[in-house]
Amino acid sequence: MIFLLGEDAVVDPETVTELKKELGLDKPIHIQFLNYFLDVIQLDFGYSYHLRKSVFNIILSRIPWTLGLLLFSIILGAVLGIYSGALAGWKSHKSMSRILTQLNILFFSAPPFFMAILIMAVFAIQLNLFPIKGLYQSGTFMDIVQHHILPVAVLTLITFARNFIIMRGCILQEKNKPYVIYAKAKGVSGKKLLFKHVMKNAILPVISLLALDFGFLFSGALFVEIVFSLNGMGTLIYDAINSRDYPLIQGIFMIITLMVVSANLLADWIHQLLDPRIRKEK
Amino acid sequence: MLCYDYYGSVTVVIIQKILSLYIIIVFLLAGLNCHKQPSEKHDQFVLKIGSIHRAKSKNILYDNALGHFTMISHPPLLKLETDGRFTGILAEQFSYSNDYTIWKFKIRKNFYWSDGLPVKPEDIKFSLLYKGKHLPSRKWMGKLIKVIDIDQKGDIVCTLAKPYTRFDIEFTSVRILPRHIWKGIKNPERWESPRLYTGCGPFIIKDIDLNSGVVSMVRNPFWKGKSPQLDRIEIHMYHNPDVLSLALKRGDVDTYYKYADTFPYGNISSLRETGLYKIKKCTESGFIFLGFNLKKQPLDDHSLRQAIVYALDYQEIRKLITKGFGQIPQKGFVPPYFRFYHPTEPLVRDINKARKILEGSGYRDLNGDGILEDREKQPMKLRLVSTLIYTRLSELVKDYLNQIGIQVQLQILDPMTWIHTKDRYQYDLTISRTTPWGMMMHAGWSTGYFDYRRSGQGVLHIIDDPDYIHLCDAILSTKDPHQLKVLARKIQEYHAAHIPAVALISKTDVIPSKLNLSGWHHDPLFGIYNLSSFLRLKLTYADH
Repeated sequence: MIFLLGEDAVVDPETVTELKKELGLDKPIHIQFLNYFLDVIQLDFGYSYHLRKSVFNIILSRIPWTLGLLLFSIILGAVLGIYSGALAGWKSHKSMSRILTQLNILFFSAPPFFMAILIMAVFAIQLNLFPIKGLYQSGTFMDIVQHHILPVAVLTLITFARNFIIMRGCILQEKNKPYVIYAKAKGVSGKKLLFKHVMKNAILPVISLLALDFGFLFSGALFVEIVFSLNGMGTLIYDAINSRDYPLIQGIFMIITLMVVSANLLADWIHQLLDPRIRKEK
Repeated sequence: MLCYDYYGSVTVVIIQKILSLYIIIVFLLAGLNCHKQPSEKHDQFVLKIGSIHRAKSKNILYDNALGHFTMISHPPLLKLETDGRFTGILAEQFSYSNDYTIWKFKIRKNFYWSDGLPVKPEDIKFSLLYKGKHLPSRKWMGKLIKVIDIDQKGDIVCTLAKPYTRFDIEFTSVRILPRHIWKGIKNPERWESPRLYTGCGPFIIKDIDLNSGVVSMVRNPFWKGKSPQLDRIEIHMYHNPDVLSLALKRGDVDTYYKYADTFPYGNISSLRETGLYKIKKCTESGFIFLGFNLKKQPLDDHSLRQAIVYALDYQEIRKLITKGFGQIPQKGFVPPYFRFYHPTEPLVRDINKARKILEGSGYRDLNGDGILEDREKQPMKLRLVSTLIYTRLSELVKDYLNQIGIQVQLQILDPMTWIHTKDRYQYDLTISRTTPWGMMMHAGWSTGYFDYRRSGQGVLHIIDDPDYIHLCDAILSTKDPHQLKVLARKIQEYHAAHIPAVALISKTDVIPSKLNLSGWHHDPLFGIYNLSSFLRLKLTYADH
């Protein structure tokens, strides 16, 4: 209630009772719960007390920006992480591999907000290359792209580091297996062996993790959105939790759950495509 | 022609091409644009204010941040002067009956809405009734005001249901709405339309863009008062104060604004180094205080509260928390700039005195473990609750109390849980802050924080002593300055003697402003964000 009214507002108990009645919070909890589920079936996630709009409309206005941010970061982080992680695992004896591994452990361990501030301080403040606030300023395509480069770079770095470390570990496990030694004995050359045979087996755990990234990156996006003052899903979740905007919280988590489940289904399908053993089991 | 002898090489080459393309695009974009601000007409005087107040919707009536920002587009009837007097904005003058039940406001005739219509007494009447009906925070108004009339002279006459001496204070924050725009809107909480931006101040809202985080204000074409030099005001909303500090460092914005708060002290030195800003010290915006739960043991014991007051190191708090910018308050819990301030005992650390008081009151270390035992021979352990922004200060307080043998269980809560905990008296100690408005509310002189009959976000409601309640009621029943002076002194003496809370530090507002800007006015309630500032602001040299 307090968040509806502001910091210095003082209301009497009668007003609070009136407000509760107006918002349907005076009904028994099981009735409120039942009403909620009946509405959810019709894609009505309720009404945000705090933002005074339909939850579905609020999410619809915010999700494209965050999805854009996440999709770019997940794809770029996956491509870069898998590729360089595979090479680093394959040529683990090389000093470049060791340096990259140390660096990625550092990136992966660093809190996202710290990474975001650091990158902003270097590229936006010191070098004055990028804007530091908002999804756009003038609204042109180039302007939107420019506003997204640093946030995407931060999220990419996080997924890149994670994918790199996992991919490198998987390649290290795979590269001494008998089929690799056999292929080498047959004269299959280095990169062909890595990218055609070893990577197919090593990539499976990374694909499973990529599906989970949709859920995980929403929390990563929160920090990035706060640092870059972006009006996306991350800040929406943060504000909803802080203001105890339960209909909005429920709506957001419902959508995230749907996305994570869909991404997992997609990951299962890719697994089948890549791994004949799973196809055979079916 | 490219020819690949195996599958792996194709993948590698594609990935390499994607990577190089990405890197080229990123640096091309960066290099080409180099973060250009959108071009502005050279002769336009645009003020860019950086704020961490964040509009979350475009509803100017319900959104908290927009409520602050629209104080200049929808000015209230009155304003509070630094000397404590009330003067008119929309109201030319006001008067009240001897029993404080009839309040009369004479409305200025030179205010016009941005669509060209004059501001009429009907707009004021409508605003009071409309807000009293629709706004939860103003519902009290609907109940208090019995009748609103417009007399033959065109003055607004409010007849109240009961005597109310503080009615003038309320009118410093009630924004006036155009009746002809709002009268047909039955559910204002669901309305967001540029038509509703119609205002009568010198500047009106042109656009609220939540995605770019900018609220733009332009001159009201029908403004008849003193002509401002400013052409446009842009409020840039940031989600994080540190990033806003970086934006200031880069020169993206001209100044900083947050209601009842200062620019972060820790970032002042780096901002000074840029040479772009002058750092303006304003009057204090409020206290950060340590509140005692008087409603339960052991803090209902005056001697324990007294010992705690002597155990705290105010100099260190000033140095560490406000970086030397704050002032050490006194026990009276009222700042010196306040009307009818009465000096009380200064707050000083005297740890030996604290120990003696505790020992004399029966709090002794019986088993020699360094922790005092209370009168029931139980180890002294107090629960201190505060919110995230006071974490460092809470740790300091915990340390000071440990030094006199009192254990502290520190709990950092989110704001909602803190309010819940505070309202149910489930704490011993708590850290919070006062705001300029908060110091004025109820009977004023900070009574609104302590009187048990009050409720609200930052209100402790811990004093039910009839003497205190009587004092509050006495203040509420008079506007006679002589009586008020005596009563204000008594209230401050009561705070000093009974210590319901101890003000740890009085924050001095520090506001950075670009070197070429002058004419800022500091409003006791709203800081630099006020009509006088924006009407007086001028460029001191022409390269803005």
